[in-house]
Amino acid sequence: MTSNLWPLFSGTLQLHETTFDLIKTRSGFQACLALFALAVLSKSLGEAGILYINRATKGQYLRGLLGSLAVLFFTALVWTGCIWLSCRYALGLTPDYRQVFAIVLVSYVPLIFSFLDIIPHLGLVVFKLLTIWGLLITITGLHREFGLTIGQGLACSAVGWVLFYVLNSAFGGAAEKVRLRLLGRDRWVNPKEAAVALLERELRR
Amino acid sequence: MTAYLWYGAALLGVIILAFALVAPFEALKWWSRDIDLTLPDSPQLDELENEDEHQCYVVYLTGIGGSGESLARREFGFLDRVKERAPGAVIITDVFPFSVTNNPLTGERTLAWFWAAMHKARLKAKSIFFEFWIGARNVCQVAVCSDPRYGPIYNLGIAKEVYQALLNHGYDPRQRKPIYLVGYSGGGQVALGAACYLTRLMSKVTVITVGGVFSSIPGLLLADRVHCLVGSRDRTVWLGPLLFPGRWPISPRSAWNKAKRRGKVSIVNMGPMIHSGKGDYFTRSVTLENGKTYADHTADVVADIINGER
Repeated sequence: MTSNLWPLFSGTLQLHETTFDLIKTRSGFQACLALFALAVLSKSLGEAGILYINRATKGQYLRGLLGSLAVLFFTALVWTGCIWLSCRYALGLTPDYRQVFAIVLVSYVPLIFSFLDIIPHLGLVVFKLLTIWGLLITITGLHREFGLTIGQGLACSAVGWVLFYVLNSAFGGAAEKVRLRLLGRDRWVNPKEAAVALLERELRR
Repeated sequence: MTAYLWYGAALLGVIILAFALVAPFEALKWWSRDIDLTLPDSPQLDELENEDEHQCYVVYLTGIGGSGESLARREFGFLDRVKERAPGAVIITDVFPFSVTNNPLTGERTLAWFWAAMHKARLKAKSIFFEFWIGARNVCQVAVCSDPRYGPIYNLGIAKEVYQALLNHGYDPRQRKPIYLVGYSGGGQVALGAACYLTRLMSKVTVITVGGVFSSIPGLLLADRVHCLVGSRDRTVWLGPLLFPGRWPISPRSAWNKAKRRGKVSIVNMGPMIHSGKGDYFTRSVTLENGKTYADHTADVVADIINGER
C-alpha cells in the first residue's frame, strides 16, 4: 500500500489519467483510503481556528475529527450514487459502483492541503480552489474509466452538486445541530457578536 | 548554482508559509485563553486636569515595518509637525498595531530573540533582507485583521489596547472628545479594524490612512469619516483595491462601496509621494513644487483634518 501512496498522490494532483489504473488494485484502493483519511485530518486542522475560538477540548477536537470523517465519507457515498445513477439513466452506461466510488475518493486528495484554510485571508479561497481541483480529478477519472467527455463528466458531477445543494438547504441546519451535539455544544460562538457583547458590557461598567 | 537558488526559494516559501499558518494563533490564544477586557475606571470628573487643553486624541498606528519597540525617527518627526499644527491634540504612539495584546516583537514572546536580532541588524545594515522578516510577519497580522473569521477578535484586542492607551493619556469617555486614528500603510487596516469597536464610544472617531493598504471592513461605515492620503507614485497603496474583492467596483454592497456612496470616504492626492523610502510621506529632504517638504505637506493635511478644515 505504501509504495502506491506517492504515485497516487502526485499522479492525481497532476491529473494523470494512468493514475486511475492504480486504484483498481487492492493495495491501490487502500492507498486511496489512506489519502482520504489524511485529507480528513488536514481538513480538521484547517478547522482548528474555529475550535480554538470555541475553546474546544482535546476530546471535542477528536469527536470533531471523527464527525468530519463520517460526514466526508457519507458525502462521497452520496456523490458516487449521483454519478452512478446519472451514468446509468442519462448515458445508458453500467459503471461499477466500486470503481466510481474509488474515483470520487481520489478526488478528495487535494483536500490534503485544506489545512491551508487556516491562513488568514488567503485561506478563504484555498478551499474553493481545492474543490475545483477535486472536480477536475473526477472528470478526468470518469473520462479514463468510462470514456465520458468533459461535458458529460461535468454534468454527472453537477447532478451530485445540485442534489447536495437541495439536501443541504433542507437538512443542513439539522446536520449542523447533530455535529454541534457531538461536540457537546448548542452553537458555535460568533466572534463578532461575542466581541461586541463583551465590549459593551465593559463600557457600561 | 541554480539548484541552490531553488532550494533557497523553497526554504523561503516554507518559512513564509509557516508565518502565515501561525499568524492567527496570537489573536486566537488571547481570545480563548487570556481574554481580559477589564479596563480601569474612568477618572473622577474633579480629577481631570487640562480639560480644555486637550481638544482631541490622535492615535498613531505604524506601518508593517514596525517592531513595536519604537517608531522610526521620520515618524516621530512627522508627529512633532502634527503637534505643532494642532497643539490641542494629544498624540498617542504607544500602541503596536500588529499584536493583539500590544506586545512588541521584542517583548515577551518565543521568537523575541529573533526579532530583536532582525531589528538590530536592520538598523545597522539597512538591508532589505532584515526588513523583510519583520514586514512579512506584520503583513500576516494585517491579513488576520482583514479576515472575516479572525478579524473581529483581532480588532477587539487592538480596540481594547487603543482604549487603554487613550485612558492612560487622560481620555474621559464622558467628555466625548474626538478621536483620530492615523494608520500608516498596514496600520490603516488596523485603524479601521479598531474603529469597528471604538465607534461604540460616544466620541466622534475619524480614521486617517497614510498610504493605507486596507480591505473593505465595517469600520469604513462606522467611522465618522475616513480620509485616505494617497501619493500618486505610491504603488503599494493599490494592493488594497487589487487584493480585496470588497474594494472592487463589482461589489456594490461592500462596506467600501457603501461608505463611498455615503460620502464618508475622501481620497486626498498627496502629490508624487512613494510608499516607503526617500520620497515617502514623511520625507524632509524632498519638496513639492511649492517648496514644501513632503513631511510638512503630510503634517499639514493631517492637521487640517484634525482642526476641522477638511
